[in-house]
Parts: sequence; C-alpha cells; structure tokens
Amino acid sequence: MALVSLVARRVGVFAVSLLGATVVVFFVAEALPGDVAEAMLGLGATPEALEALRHDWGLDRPAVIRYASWLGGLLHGDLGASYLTGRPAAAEIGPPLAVTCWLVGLALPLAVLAALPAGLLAALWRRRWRGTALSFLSQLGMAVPVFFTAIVLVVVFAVRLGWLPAVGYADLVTPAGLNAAEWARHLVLPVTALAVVQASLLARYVRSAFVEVLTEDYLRTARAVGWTRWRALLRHGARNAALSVVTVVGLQLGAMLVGAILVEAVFGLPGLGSFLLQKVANRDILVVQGVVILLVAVVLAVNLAVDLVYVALDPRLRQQGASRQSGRRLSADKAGRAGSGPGSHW
Amino acid sequence: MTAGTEMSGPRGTLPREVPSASQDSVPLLEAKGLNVWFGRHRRQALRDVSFRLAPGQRLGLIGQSGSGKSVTALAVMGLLPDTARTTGSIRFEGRELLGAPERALAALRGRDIAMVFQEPMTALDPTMRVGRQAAEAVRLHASATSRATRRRVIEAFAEVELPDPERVADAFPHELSGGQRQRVLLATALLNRPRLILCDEPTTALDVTVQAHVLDLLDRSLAASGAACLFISHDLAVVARVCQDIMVVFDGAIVETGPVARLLANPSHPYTRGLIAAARLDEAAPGSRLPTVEDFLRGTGS
Repeated sequence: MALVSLVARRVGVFAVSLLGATVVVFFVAEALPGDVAEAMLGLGATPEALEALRHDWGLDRPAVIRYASWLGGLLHGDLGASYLTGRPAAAEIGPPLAVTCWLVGLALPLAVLAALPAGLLAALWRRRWRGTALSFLSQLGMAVPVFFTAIVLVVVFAVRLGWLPAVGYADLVTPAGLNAAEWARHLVLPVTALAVVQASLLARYVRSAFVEVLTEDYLRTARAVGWTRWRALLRHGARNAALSVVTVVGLQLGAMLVGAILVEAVFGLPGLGSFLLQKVANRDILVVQGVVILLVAVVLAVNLAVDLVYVALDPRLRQQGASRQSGRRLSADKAGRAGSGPGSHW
Repeated sequence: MTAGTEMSGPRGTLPREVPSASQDSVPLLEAKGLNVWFGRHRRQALRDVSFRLAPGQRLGLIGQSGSGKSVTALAVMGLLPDTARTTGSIRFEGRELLGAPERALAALRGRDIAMVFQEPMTALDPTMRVGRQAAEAVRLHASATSRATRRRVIEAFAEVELPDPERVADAFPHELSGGQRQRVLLATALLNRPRLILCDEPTTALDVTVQAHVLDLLDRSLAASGAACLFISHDLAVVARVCQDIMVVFDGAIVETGPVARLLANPSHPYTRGLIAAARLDEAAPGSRLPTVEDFLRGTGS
C-alpha cells in the first residue's frame, strides 16, 4: 500500500541521514587541531608521555577503526566514556541536556501557543491597524537578537522589579525532594526570551498560512452549507493552515537549539552550550561527538515526525507519495474567481 | 450546532411580515436597490439591482464575466468578501437579509438557501472526505445520528447519479473528477431541500457532455423539490434549458428582464442581441467571420 511504502521511505531517509551525520560529526571533530592528550598534559609534555596516553585511550588506532567502534557503541546506545573523567559520556551529558531540554521543551509549546492566535488575528485584521500592529510586533520580535531580549528581560524583571533571579539554575529534583518553585522561578525569564523570538517568527508563518486559507473556495463552501465564519475557519481552515505551519515548527527546532545556547549564556544556565564549549576546549572529543550526534538525532527525528504528521493531515500525499511541497502546489493551482475581488471569503 | 434563537423553529414557521392571506403574492426572494462596492477605491460592482423571485420560479442571470452575476448571488448568501460594502435590501420570505447577524444567516444558509459554486475543483476541502463534508450540511441544521446522516448523504449522492455513492462518500476531493465533484456539491446543496438554490455557473468548468448531464440532473432535482433557482451563466443555451425567465446584467446593472421566449425573440439591449447572434451558428455563412458580442456593444459607450 502506498501509505506503508511512504512511511517506510521517510524512516529510511531518517536512518540514512543519521548515519551520514555520524560520519560528518566524527571526522569534523577528528579534524580539530590537537587532541585530548595534549590538552591534558599541556605544552611541556614529552612525546613519549603523549604517546603512552594516546595508546592507553586507543587514540593511536586509525580513525576509521575508531569510527567503527564508536558507531558500534552508538547502535547499542553507548556513547563511550569521557577521556578526562572516565565516566560514561551519557552520564556527563545528562544534567546539562536536562537543562537545555527544559528550556527548549517549554519555550517551543509556549511559542506555538502564542503564535497561533497572534498569527490568526494578524491575518483576519490584515487590512486594519490592529493587524498592522501585530505584524509590526512580530517583525520586532524577530529582528531583535535573542540575547538582547534576554538582557532586557533581566534588566526589567530581575534588576528593576526584583521579581525573578537574573542568573543561575535550580534542579527540579534535588536530594531533598521536588524543588519545583525555585526551578520554575529560574526558568521563567530564559524560556520567555527564547519563546519571544520563536513566537514572532512562527506568527508570521501562521499569518501567511491563514491569509492564503481565507481566500480558498472551500472556506466559502463551508459557510454556504451553514458554518458561521469562525466555525468554518476553525473546522476547514485550521487544518489546511496547519500544513504549512507544522513544517516551519519542525525546521525551527534547529534554530531554537542555537538560540537556547545564547540564552543559557546570558542567564548562566548550566546547559549544553557551556558544557559543549568546555568539552571542546579540553578536546574531550567523545563527549562532544556524543552531544552533537544527540542533537542531530533529535532534529532529524522531529523532521521525521513533521513529515508523518504532514501525511496524516494531507490525504493527497498519501496517494501520490509526493513531497511536502506538492500539497501546496495543488492548492495554489486555482482559477480566478469572478466577482469575489481581492478579498477573502471570510 | 444551535441555530440563532429567532431561527430555531422548524421549517415553515419563520416569522413573516406579510399576512398569510396574501402569500401567493409574496416573493420568495426580493432584491431592491442593491448596490455593492469593492475595496478601498469603491469600485462599484452592482448598481441599483432589483428583482423578484417567486417560489419555484427559475430565473436565469446572464451577463459577461465581471458584470456582477456572482456578486448578486453572493450578496444574497451574505458571502461577499470582507472588502465589499453593500446597500439596499434583500428579503427572503419577507425577512431582511442585509445586515442580519451572521448566526441567523448561517442558520439559513444550506437549509433554506443553498448555493452551487462555479469551481468544483477548489470548492471542496482537500483534507476531508467528501461524504463528511456533505454530512456537515445535514448535521448543522438538524440533529440526526451519524448513521442516518450518512444514509441521507449516500442517497443524495445516488440521486445525482454518482456511480458507487458509498465509495464516492469515502473519497477525498482529489480522487474525484470535476464532474463528480460538481455532483457532490449539487447533492450537498439539495440535501436539506432548500427553497432557493443559487447556481453560479455550475457547469462552466465541466466539459460539454458532463455539462448536459449535470443540467439534466439539476432540472429534475428542481422539478422534484419545487425549489426556486437563480441560475447564473454567460451561456444563453444553458440558461434557456433550465429557466423560464431571464435577467440580463450588464456592467453591474440589470438591463432587461423577461420570459426566455420573449427575450430571445425580441431582445432590446445590444448585449442580449449580441449573445443571441453569437449563439446562432446555423445562420453563419461558411467562410465569413462569426459575429461576436463586442460587435453589438460598439457604440453603446460602455
């Protein structure tokens, strides 16, 4: 059946991309000047000492062999052990990963929740000053760098008003028990800073998706059978608008991870950003590779999910097994409508 | 979905302003002094349009593209785009539609007044099975079990001679041909046995053989249900086939109106004369240039 082969193909693309990513991640890290032995023993180390250390860690084996053993470990869910601490890389990555996950995992839904109504209203009000104002706000949110937004938030809410901490992080689960209040207090500002940028960007896509949907004939048909404006829009418009918005949400995840690293720096959060920098400086390559491949896998997995959601939303794709864009092409292919003018059917 | 409070009674109990003794003379639909403007520049699309439609009457609305045919139908439905400004009066069974609240209009749409659109290719939601889309017309105006609703939809699909109606109901729009989609739309419009059907060039996008079939279906369905019809077309032959009366609209204004036979025999407006001449292929001399509507419009200053 077409659907099964379509899903199989998408999963196949995911697997091949991930495999390709392991090659790139491994050999780019490999190309970094210097290695963990030099970083650890310092400039004054003798060649013999370096050699001995490299031999202990297996760094004197050919790169291809080391890649193969790393990949073999990955397939078993084993990221290897840190050269420096000897602890499993997964255990090293865990705590900073949790911080970044909370940051992105809270900011993304918040951004979507804010962008949907904002974009919808901007589309409905596009010929009125209120719509222009919304569009202006989202332009502003996009144009201002995320660290600037973060600093403004710190100045206002931490320094002036003193409501929230300016820097630092509190673990959600501590040995003493659940620490939800402190944890949340430390996350409010970083999550907001990250969400503002993403919400602004998403709102623009939501707006243009709805502007397009508002001129579609089927929206007029829906009203002609008895739906009110709003119900026609929610029932027949939202699903079609979601087609383009879902794609953007998936693609934005990568950008959000970058934004998260900047936000972590401003708020002094012990997330993946500072962790990764420190590990690169120490040439703790296995941990670096582990972090990067993990992020790549997350982004690829989200894109796979987007693809599958897309197939679920658009029946035209199920039949043709075509790409994401073909749905848009079909809907864009419409004849002129006599008398309806440049306005929408709303 | 609940209908607006003043609309919630069963069919036939709508409040009427005219006493029931004179019901025969009450038009089903009456437009008076209808003006429509579009956009910032206030481009006028309809100028002082007035007409009446008796219950069961079939009125053809004919004119060039851009003359205001579709605008007239959309104004009746209350579905003009948000850039439109409308003045005048449109009464359905005595009740004013212009300026009526959206909920009251929505309760009327699809139940008492239905519309069949010109573009079957884009008039259906591409993400929803057509049977479910048609079922919405039932569900919105009456409470029925989903099984009963589906049975009604499939019956309606069978009535417009869709082959294998069960399969069609489970199909997505892109799986159907243009003619099939237009039949789905026609069946949907007929589902609630409306008293008025607005047809906006329902066969223009179809090829000629399918066109004839759909017109036959429409003709029979109208005869069976006794619904009145405002039939929009730029094709005289199509209008003459379905309607008793014709109204000719030119540049947003109605230029002449009357029974089909009289109007064809004795057209007064140059546009009507041009349409008739252009349709009379039997009178064309081989090798000579065919007459066009524009030949007749020259000198009218429009």
